[in-house]
Amino acid sequence: MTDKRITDHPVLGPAPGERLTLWVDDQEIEARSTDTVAGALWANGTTTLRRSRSGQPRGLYCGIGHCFECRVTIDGEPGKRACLMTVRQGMRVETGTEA
Amino acid sequence: MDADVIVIGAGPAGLTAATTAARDAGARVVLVDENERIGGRLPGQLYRHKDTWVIGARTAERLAEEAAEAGVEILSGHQVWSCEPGWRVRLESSRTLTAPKVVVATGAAERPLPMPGWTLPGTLAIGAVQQLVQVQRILPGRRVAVVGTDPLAMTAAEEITLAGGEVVGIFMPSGEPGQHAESSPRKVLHSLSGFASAAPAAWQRLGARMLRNRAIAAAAARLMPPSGIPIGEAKLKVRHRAEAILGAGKVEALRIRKVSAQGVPVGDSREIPVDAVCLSGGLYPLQELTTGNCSLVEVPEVGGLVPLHSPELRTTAPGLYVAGNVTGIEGAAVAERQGALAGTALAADLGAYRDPGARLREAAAQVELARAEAVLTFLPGIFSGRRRLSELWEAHAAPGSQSEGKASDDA
Ligand SMILES: Cc1cc2nc3c(=O)[nH]c(=O)nc-3n(C[C@H](O)[C@H](O)[C@H](O)COP(=O)(O)OP(=O)(O)OC[C@H]3O[C@@H](n4cnc5c(N)ncnc54)[C@H](O)[C@@H]3O)c2cc1C
Ligand code: FES
Repeated sequence: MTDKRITDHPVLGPAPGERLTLWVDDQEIEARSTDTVAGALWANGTTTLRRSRSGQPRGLYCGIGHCFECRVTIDGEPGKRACLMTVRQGMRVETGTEA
Repeated sequence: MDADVIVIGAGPAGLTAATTAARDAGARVVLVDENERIGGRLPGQLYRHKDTWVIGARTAERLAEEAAEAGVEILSGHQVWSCEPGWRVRLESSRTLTAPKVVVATGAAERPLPMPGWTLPGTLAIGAVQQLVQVQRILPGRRVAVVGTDPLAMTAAEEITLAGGEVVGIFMPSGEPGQHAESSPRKVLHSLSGFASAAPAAWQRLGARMLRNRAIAAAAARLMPPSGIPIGEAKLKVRHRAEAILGAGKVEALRIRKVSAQGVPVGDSREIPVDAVCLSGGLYPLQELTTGNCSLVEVPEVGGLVPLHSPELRTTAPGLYVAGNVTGIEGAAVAERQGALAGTALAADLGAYRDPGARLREAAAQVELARAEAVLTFLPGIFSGRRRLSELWEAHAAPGSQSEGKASDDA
């Protein structure tokens, strides 16, 4: 997969989960079933998840649902926190919305 | 009524509170959490304790099994919007749950550490790093800078290097307005004493314990090598502060500058190329759901505004209990024992025990034991903060007291 993946952790062991694919802005990407949407995008090098009203890039920040910086559209539903949603096979994610 | 008890938050505190109430009182317990995975902050935790590793994910699994065995109904992936006397717990999905008793165990949140460039994608808080590395097994970056001075900044640096990333250094915050973290080397060394038993090498443990003495911490800050103190494979740069995060569209570098032992900048600034910056601004209790429902008190030694509570974790509102980091910032082992204590108080109020006094004393002793043996101490003044909280409760509970007025009802 990508160079950000930790395949074998010295204390925690091999990475859990199975491979799957999802669609991000009409591009198919690989992920693991244990990824959150934010994690899958991060591992694939997509750091900008949305834009502020003035057009500034925003991305994953708190990682635990508090800051709302990671909002994306998931399967047509806008405003979902990418850091709280687990990926599913065939899921459709849209990034870059202004909010 | 939908249940006898609703517990909000499935971290170590909420899980044990739910298990204890269900098991000891045979209560019908619903446990609600906004995450799909239960365990609260536990699954992201990994740090050294003497020669072993504390693996939060294992504890989370054990606590989840115990809750399932006790018959606790778990409602995960549901955020709670509000909680009103009665008790009515309103969920994001506009569904409402009702029960005569509620336990609020919502944990803690991170204080932001604002500095120029901190909204650039690639700037991550501790929670994000823990979730990426330990839970999803993804590196935050290949070359990462950590900014912060609390024990979580140190554990994050160790977690990243352990997983194969490079940590270019752990830097002091710049101390600008809006930052809550310590920025003078002297104060930093004092606050680092809380990291004592998790420090990897024996000499470091000894050093950290000595730093609890303010005078020694001050002397150490003057002697501190500008190259930094080793924390695992990373270096704590007490003599360098982070001034700005730089990059076009994403993090590309951190600008740092040398400071004196008093925290005054000396010399020119320098840019270090990195692909991620991890910020650690410290934690505060997440008490929003208790606001307006019971008295709250501001106690900086425990992390800020917390619900006023009895030693058994009852609040000033009948049927409302609290447990875990919502009552003050401490480690996971303390939160777990606090959950058992709140669950015991709740079961006692439901008439579950023949000798409730003995059960409560035993559960309270377990909390104290965990507190005394804590691997990470987040706030150096936690013991005096806890004493202050008991005094405030005694003043409130004293017959004819006017203390309701002293405790602020909201903030
Ligand atoms: C980012 C971070 C890192 C930490 N790292 C460590 C560490 O390495 N070691 C350590 O000992 N301690 C650490 N802590 C301290 C930590 O708070 C305790 O270890 C412990 O997890 C506290 O347990 P708890 O049950 O009180 O809260 P938590 O474990 O935080 O659990 C609270 C749960 O409630 C949920 N919740 C909150 N509000 C709502 C709502 N409105 N609706 C639904 N669900 C809600 C949260 O999402 C969470 O799942 C960390 C804390 C944070 C915030
Ligand atoms: S990153 Fe903060 S809510 Fe998702």
